[in-house]
Amino acid sequence: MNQLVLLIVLPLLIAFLLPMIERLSRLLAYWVGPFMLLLTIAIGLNLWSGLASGPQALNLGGFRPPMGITLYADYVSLLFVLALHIGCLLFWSVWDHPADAIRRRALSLLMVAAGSGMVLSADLFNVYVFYELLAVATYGLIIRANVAASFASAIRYLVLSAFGAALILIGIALVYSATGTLNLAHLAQLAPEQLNNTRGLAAFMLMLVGFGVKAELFAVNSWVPEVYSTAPRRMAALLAGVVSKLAMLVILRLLVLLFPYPESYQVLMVLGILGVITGELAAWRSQDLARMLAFSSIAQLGMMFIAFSIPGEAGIIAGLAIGLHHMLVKPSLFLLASRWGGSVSALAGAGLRSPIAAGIFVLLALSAIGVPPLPGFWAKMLLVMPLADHGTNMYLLSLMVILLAVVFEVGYLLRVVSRLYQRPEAPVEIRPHRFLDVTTAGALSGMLLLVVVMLPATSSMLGIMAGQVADVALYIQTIQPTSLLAGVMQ
Amino acid sequence: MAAKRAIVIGIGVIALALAMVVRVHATYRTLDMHEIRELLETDISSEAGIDLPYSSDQPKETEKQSRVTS
Repeated sequence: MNQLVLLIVLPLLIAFLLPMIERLSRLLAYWVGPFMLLLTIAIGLNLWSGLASGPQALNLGGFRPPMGITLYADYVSLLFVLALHIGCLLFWSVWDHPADAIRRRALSLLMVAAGSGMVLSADLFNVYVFYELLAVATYGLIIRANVAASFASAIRYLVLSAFGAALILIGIALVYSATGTLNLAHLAQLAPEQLNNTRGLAAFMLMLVGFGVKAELFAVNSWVPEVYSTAPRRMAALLAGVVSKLAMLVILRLLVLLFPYPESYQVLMVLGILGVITGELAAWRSQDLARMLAFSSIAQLGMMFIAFSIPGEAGIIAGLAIGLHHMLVKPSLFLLASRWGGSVSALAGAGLRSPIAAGIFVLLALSAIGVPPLPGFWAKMLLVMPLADHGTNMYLLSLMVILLAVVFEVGYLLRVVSRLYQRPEAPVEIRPHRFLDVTTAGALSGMLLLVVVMLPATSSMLGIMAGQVADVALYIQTIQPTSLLAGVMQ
Repeated sequence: MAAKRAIVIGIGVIALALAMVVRVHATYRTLDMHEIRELLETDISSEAGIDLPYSSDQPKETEKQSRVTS
């Protein structure tokens, strides 16, 4: 299990060494990143097989919790870490930007390290530090050299994100003043007595809004359309597809371990509903593909928030299903937008020009809408059923909002599809996609089809994952094997 | 220890923000966040090749000017 730390340390080390390696040999500097990512992916897969006996915890430096820093890996966190590493390899954004390639590579690796650390860490302050590191790495990555708009959107994103980080810090301070510890397992033990009050709810709200900046939560997501339409497309794909889910996972952990109370579920649901409504309406109104995808990703993450607001395992299963589906669909759509990012009405005939890309787009759009055999349908189904089961007013309201959202999704995605296959009046000027973009998008949609074939295995895996996340006692026991026994003996 | 780490990160972020502010000012010649936002919208829309979003509730050009001069 010691290898767990390599997933964080290796990218960090290479990121800082990269400028020096460049002085030695440019060729080495170009290839060391992808090879290191391949290595960490192999390590991650190796760890994955080691998780069969249950989640694993690693105490850094041999300090016993709650004193030292602890890393915690279960199926969900390792899956998201692997997704980040694989995503960074797939969307290795530097292929687009040879001019400042080395700096971009270093920042990408920094982002991978920080994201992995944020998901794996079982210490609240450590989560915060890695969150800040992740934010700083993304500021650099979304900037395109000599494009003024990307600087302006980056500064607006930075202001919002720094505001969020300050809120998280205040929330952490509140938690610390109430309990005197920041270890999540220790906090989970103390939470029912000491955080089940107004102070706890305030801390949760602050941290929710803070992490929500990255997770595209309603009211702190105004950076999303600007950044995704000005950033390099591959970077936008990675941010929308993977990085936003990492913040979501942190929120899920906080919700399950520290604040599993009706009030916090209700806050999450209201914000989620507002996110879905605003995201879908804005996507429906938007006239260019890049911003349409950005707004629809806000709506999808709103659906994840609604899913997590259902208490118990069913909600977590639904949220994970929607998140993983979005992780496959949205990056590929952004890749296709690398050539089609402009006005939708200018896309007439583009599908006839590049039929493979258009075919992939149709498949992804159908899955995003939720047409039955495709995974998107099952993800929405998993969300709608527990909402209907609960049957109180709020749950039925969110059920209605989700069904209406599907209507809007059909509206705007099929508008693009119909444009793609329209007979052009003038010769089409849009260039075909680069081979790399189409193959990456094709590979991701291939995985989507693989999920259709392996549906029973996928759903049982989702059940196991959600069971592990929802099991607070398991979390505490894995990190502090002795303390639970001590509690029983007292 | 924890507070120190937060301060160090804060200084780093502020330095980064300042660098970006300089770059924004060099191109947009303003630091007014509202103006920057409008210019940003114009830039994104013109890059995508679409007209600016139009709203019938938008204040008329003359009203805007009078507000600025007063």
